[in-house]
Amino acid sequence: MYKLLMTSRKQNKFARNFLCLFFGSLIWLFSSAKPIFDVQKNITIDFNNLPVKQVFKELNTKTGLKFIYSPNDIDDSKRISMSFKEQPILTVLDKIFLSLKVSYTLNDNTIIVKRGSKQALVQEDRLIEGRVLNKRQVALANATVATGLGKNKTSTDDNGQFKLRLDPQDSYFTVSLVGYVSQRVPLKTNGEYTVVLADSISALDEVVVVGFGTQRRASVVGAITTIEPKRLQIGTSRSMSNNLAGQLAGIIAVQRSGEPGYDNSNFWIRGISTFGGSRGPLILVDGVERSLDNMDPEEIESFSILKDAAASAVYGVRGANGVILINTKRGKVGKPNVSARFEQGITSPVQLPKFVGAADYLEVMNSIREERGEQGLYSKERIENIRNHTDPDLYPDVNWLDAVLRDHAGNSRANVSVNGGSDILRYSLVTSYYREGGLIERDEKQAWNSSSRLNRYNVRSNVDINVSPTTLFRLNIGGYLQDRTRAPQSVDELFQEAFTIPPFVHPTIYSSGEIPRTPQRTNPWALATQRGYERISASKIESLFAVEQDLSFWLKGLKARGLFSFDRYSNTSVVRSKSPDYYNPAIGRDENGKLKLVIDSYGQEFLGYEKNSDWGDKSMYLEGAINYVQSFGGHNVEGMFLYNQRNYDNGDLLPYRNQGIAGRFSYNYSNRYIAEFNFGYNGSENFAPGKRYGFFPSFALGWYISEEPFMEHLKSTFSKVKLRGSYGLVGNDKLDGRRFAYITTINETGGYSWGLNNDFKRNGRMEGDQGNSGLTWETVAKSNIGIELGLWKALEFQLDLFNEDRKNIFMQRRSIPGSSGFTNAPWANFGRVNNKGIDMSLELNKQLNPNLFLSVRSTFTYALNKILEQDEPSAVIGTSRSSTGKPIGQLFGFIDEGLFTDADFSDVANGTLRPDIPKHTFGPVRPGDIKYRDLNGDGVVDALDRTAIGGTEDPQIVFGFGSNLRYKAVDFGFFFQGVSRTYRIIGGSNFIPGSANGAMGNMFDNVSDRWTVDNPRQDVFYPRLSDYQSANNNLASTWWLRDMSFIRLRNIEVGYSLPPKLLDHLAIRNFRVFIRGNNLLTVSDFKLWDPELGVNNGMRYPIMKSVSMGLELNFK
Amino acid sequence: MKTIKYKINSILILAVLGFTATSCSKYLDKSPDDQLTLEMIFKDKTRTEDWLAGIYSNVPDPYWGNTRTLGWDPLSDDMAPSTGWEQFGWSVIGMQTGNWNPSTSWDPNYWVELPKRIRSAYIFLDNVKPNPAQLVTEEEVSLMKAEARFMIAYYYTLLLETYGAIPFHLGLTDPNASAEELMIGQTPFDQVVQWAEKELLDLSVILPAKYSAAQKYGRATSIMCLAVRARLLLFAASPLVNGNTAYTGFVNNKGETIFDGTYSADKWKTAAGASRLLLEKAESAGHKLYMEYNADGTIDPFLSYQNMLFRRPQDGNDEILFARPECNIWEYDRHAQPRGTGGNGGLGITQSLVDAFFMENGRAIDDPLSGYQEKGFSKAAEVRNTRWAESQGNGKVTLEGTYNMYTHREPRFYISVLYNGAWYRRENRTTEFYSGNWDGGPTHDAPQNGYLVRKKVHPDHDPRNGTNPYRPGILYRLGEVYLNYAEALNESEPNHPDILKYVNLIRLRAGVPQYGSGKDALPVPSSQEAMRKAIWSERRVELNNEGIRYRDVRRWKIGEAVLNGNFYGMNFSGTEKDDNESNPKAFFKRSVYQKRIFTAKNYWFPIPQVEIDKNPNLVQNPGWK
Repeated sequence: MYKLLMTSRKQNKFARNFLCLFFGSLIWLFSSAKPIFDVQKNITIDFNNLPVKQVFKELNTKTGLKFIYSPNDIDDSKRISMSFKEQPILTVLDKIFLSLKVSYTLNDNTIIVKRGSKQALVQEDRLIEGRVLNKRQVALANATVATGLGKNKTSTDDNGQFKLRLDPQDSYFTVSLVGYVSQRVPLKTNGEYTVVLADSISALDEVVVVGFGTQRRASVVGAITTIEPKRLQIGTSRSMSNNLAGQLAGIIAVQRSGEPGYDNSNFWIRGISTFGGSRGPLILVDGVERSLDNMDPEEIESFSILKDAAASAVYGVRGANGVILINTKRGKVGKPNVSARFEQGITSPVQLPKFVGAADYLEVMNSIREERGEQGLYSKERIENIRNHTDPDLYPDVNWLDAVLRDHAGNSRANVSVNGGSDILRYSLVTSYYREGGLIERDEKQAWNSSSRLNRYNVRSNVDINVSPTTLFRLNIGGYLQDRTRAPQSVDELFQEAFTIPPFVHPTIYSSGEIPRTPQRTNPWALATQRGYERISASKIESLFAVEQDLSFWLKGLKARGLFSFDRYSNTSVVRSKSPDYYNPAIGRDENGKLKLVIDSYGQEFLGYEKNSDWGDKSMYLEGAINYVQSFGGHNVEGMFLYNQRNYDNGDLLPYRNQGIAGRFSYNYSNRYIAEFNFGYNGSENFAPGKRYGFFPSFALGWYISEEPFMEHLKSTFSKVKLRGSYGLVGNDKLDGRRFAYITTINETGGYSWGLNNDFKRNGRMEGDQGNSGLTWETVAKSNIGIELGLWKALEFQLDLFNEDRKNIFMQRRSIPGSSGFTNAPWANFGRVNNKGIDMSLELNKQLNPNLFLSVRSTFTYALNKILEQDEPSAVIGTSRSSTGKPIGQLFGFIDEGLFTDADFSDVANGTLRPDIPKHTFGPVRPGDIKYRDLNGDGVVDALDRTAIGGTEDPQIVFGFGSNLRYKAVDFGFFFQGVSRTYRIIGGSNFIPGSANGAMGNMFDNVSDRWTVDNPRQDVFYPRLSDYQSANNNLASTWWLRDMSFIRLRNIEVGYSLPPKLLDHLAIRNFRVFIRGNNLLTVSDFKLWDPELGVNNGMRYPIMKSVSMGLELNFK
Repeated sequence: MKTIKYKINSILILAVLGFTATSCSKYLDKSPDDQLTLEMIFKDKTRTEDWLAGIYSNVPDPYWGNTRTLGWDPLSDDMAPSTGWEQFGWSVIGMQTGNWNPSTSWDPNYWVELPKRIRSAYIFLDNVKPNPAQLVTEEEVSLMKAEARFMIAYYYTLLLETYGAIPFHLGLTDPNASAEELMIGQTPFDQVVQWAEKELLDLSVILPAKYSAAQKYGRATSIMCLAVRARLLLFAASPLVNGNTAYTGFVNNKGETIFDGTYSADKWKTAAGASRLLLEKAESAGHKLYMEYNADGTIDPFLSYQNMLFRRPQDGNDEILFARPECNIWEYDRHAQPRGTGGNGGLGITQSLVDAFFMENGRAIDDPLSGYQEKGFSKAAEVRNTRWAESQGNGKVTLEGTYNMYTHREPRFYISVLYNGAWYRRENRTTEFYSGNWDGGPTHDAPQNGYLVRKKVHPDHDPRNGTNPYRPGILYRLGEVYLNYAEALNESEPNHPDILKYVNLIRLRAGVPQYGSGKDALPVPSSQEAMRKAIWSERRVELNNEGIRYRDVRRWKIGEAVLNGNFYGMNFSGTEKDDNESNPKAFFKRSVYQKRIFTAKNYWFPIPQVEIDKNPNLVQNPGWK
């Protein structure tokens, strides 16, 4: 017979009231609820020789605990004398029951006293160890391991290992993990535990992040790719965007510069499908439009990209370019889990162009003149003096790239995060620090430091509070502060100047201390080191409040959610600059040996002060949604309806506003047949009244073949077979170049002055753009067919074929003649682009033997777009010059037919071509110049003979593959990434050696690979050199077209986890050290500079490679 | 109880959702309220004047415009910017050397840019209205309308002179116009000339000759109308478009002949008449040649010619008929000053111009009586009667040791040319153009052919200290009217006494002996032919580097003769003061620095390829396809 001793219900009101008081001003929700018993709560209580019965009574008064016991088990008249001061309740209970020699269980707020189990009682405090795996023998990290009473908790490390301290009364422990069936494991007397968790309902209930919410994996029919956040940590680069290429099927990404702070990659989901301005995906962090560049990967819990219309239609006019969803880490129930990570790297350029020295340079210059029978400008003795380093002041030999760059720089990254919580309150705190030093040289003699460097501090604090069992309150605060310092001009400019200034004109600084420069040119070294510095500070705060209310009492499966967020970004910069005295290059030495110098411009001694820029933006976002999830037998139904609005203000005339509703209805029959309907109905203030809202629906169907009963016996082979297809519309309201395009504008134009003293000045004004009231958004119809395949429970294969047809692309009319006098050609929704391709991923995870684990993964993305319709000048349509039918960004140029030979000329001396050779109209030609094909056969090579050559600069193919291997405590991984079908026409001002007559331009070290009169080879890099800019040879043509495909070893990493025995007494659960290399190897046919750089002459801050060491540790 | 509370919560959430949804129906209902509209512009005096200023803004800048952007002077045989500047986007250097085709970019892009101003002027005509509250009177409005009409006509004359055959369309085009309305073809040359000539004459009656208000200086006047008209009619009478049979068969999309191939003597008569009318009106408005005098009362030709370019009207310069008050004089001066003095030091002039200047005795250097001696170096400084201070003052014009080519030349030579070894007052030294020396190569910022332009460069411009004396840019001056008149008259009435009169007036001010009168008089040119040659030579010198020579070369059809072939200068790579032809290091020897190309097509600019592409009714100018 059990006796219910006490029934009085004293709620533990304190915590709840406190919370409500705290957040009362923020929320209107108040809810009464079942109290949740807080076992961690401390109590102070004294029992002075009291009977057990009385003890229970007092405990009930104090804590609300109820006690159920059978008098057979306990003699409730036994007297106890104990005293507790600020002790956890559980400790109190343990002590009491230990003295009574019985065990108990705690269920909600009820203690059930059990008959004393002999076995349980003899067990002293002890530590158990074990490992948690899934059925595929893959170690499961972050599984929660808890003692039966929930008093002690831990979670597994990356190797699935755990250690748990038991209390004497424990008879079992539990293991749980999202997506798996929780398991209760009885205690053994000895040995390690290996716990194999079953996928919960064969992983079909696993939650996937989708647009405006989550879905059961079984129900997902959109093309969605996710990536483990850990894989976004493969690079030491500041910007997370640099880690996307090759990692995610469906992303095309390229990094075009390595400059600290400006090294974000350009990336597109499934390539580009508009020639309008807005091509980048919509990026949502915790559901709010934000940038991902300055997030630390450590902050991220999930990262998914939505590729097809089924996944992105809910975003309506903003989702046409695909959507990236990032959710930040949230707290998990358990005691505080502290982890730390530190990484220190040394960086250096992947590849820098190499220049020839001054003596070689001058010899090339002389040879150009000598070839046409003139004497070289530079004397033998001058060249000898440079070679012999005689008087470097007068005969300098400067490699300006070396002069402005250091060999190495460094970066470091540190993270500390804490994660934990109870059923009521969970928290995740992440703090990160990132530092990067730049390559630019500084002058140690100056008191200031002009070298480029960057410091970034990130914090993110996410808190979830169950204010009632059905009400969840979320508060996210995140942000960063980023400080940068650099010389007060763009680093790109510095690189351009280092390329522009020849090696022989003057040294960096004279031995007597004067700084030389050629008038109106620069001294790159002085530009980098003598001009002071600029301090740029950017900060961002991101906040989010959300309330989720479970309405199951009303309608089972119904939930409502409200979300409000505001973000603020600000950027300020201070320039402390000066200009040194510059001297003209010395023309010799006087009789005393002093350099003959004359001043070119007067500088200043001190650093000036200027507040350069101060700008920022803010955005506010409001969202309300209702979700419904319910199963009726085999019928699984999910629904979502949502309202949102966004106000983005960056100081423009009016804030940018969006408003809309979205909905999803998903039906799934016994996890096999899935149908889904999504829509977005939203608007943008960019368009004329009445044209502001658009409806974007999408449909999707899926068939989970492997769930069919007839597949049951094949399940060991085909662990997953899923077919899905979707079709829908998405829009894009970001029109490039023109906002409020329905309004006719007035432009400012060149002004004019009148007056005898030139003092009656008027700013000019004229007509600007013509308004077009019919303007609307771009609409893209996306279709997608995908297959997901799981084989032998080890291999995951996913393949998607897509087709996107985008119309109403906003463009400026190109067929309006200039004689009409319009300031700007009118804008119209004119263009149509088709984009299709394939993306796929393959993943293998295999525990080869208990000590050896192997994973292999690879992705492949191919996207090919084609302009179907656009406004083109009438004479261009249908000719080789037309870009219709070509990809966006198609390169155009001439087709070369090698170099002219003497045989092509009827009169070589006068440069007269034979009559049967097409006339070249760009300038005089000579043997050794590039000969072009007369495409239209009119006997003249002119602009009409231009045609599409090569492809686009942006790659059409991006792929990646890598592997991870773990053997006992050692792990090894590598990842290759590559791009293909990417081209560039190299060249530009001063690119052809000598073309500025030695006044500008450096020569690459391949300068000897050139056509000369004595060696008139065709297979050379450079055509005939000249000491002027040869208009003919400088044209974009196949001669200069290069394939910029490459494969790069993005990451190679070796790690070692210290044995647990060493760590145990340090309260450290896991300690891993690693060495990592990034971008250590690049293989490409193009050798002059890093093929990924976004310039045609190699002169940009290079992409960096790095070698780093780091450690990761988790505290117990 | 509990259930009720939950319900209340839920209702609250739903209410909030509903509230946001309903209250936000006007959320997007925003339009920018401070966007200027045409109506707002013309309600307001300042904005109205802004609009007018926008129309004026393409008036050519005779300083940096003629040099760098428009490039008229480098395109002629006057100016020689450093060939290395092609790297900095000086496309004009490529154009000099034949790197020129319909796709070549030309910054001013008149074909597209001038129609924008013309359209803007028509919008102005349609919208401008009196505004008594801001003292914009009816009278002021009618003047401004006349100004706008002047600008339309003026821009059409610029288009005519540049392209010859142009689409001619008066009034506004609707943005939604049909393709036929938009795609108009070219109009025969003479038709546009006739319209512009008449329009300018009509306007000259409406507009005043001068404005009394100082702040209106630079606004269109009757003199400007007549000046532009006279220049246009002179152009229309010239051999390029008067009796030129080279364009036979060049027709527009309607089959009309664009350039009439028959010669008309009347065109010269009209041109002479237009210049005479201008001359009369200008003189009666007080315009006269600018002169400065020595202490003894004689004309100081050095200061007269130099300061005619620098003095403002209120300083007594009445020669200017059409000025652009604000020009980019800074860049012009800086690019023309030697690199060793803080300038860019590469804005050169050609040997051809050096050779064109007369000797001190008024004769050309190829005249056996001129006494021209090229070789050797002078033994003594030359002193003349002048207060010109740029060559050490006290009348000193050249120094001892000057290359003989530069001695005993006429005053305009010294005002126009900065040669190697010339005194440079601001720096207190002579110029050193030798390679490796202060002002010389081998860089691109050095005189590639051994000369820098001195004309229009203010001697007090100091790039190191940022000083740059103001002066208006002269687009048209009385001196040109004299020579235009003389030229047209010599063609229409060869023996008219005015011909000699006005040529001699120019020579008198220039300090050069006159033809048939005055001190050291030269014989009067004996025939119409000889007089034509004399007038052409006088124009070349007097109007050098004023944006006029290229037009002259084209209308006289002498491009192939003077702009084709090797161009000479002094030896850029020379390091020694020597004139020995066989010494490769000698600076003072004639050396080729550039080979220029001018063929028949170059008489007109090509129509930009993109415009030919857009408009199927256009025909490309002769020779460009």
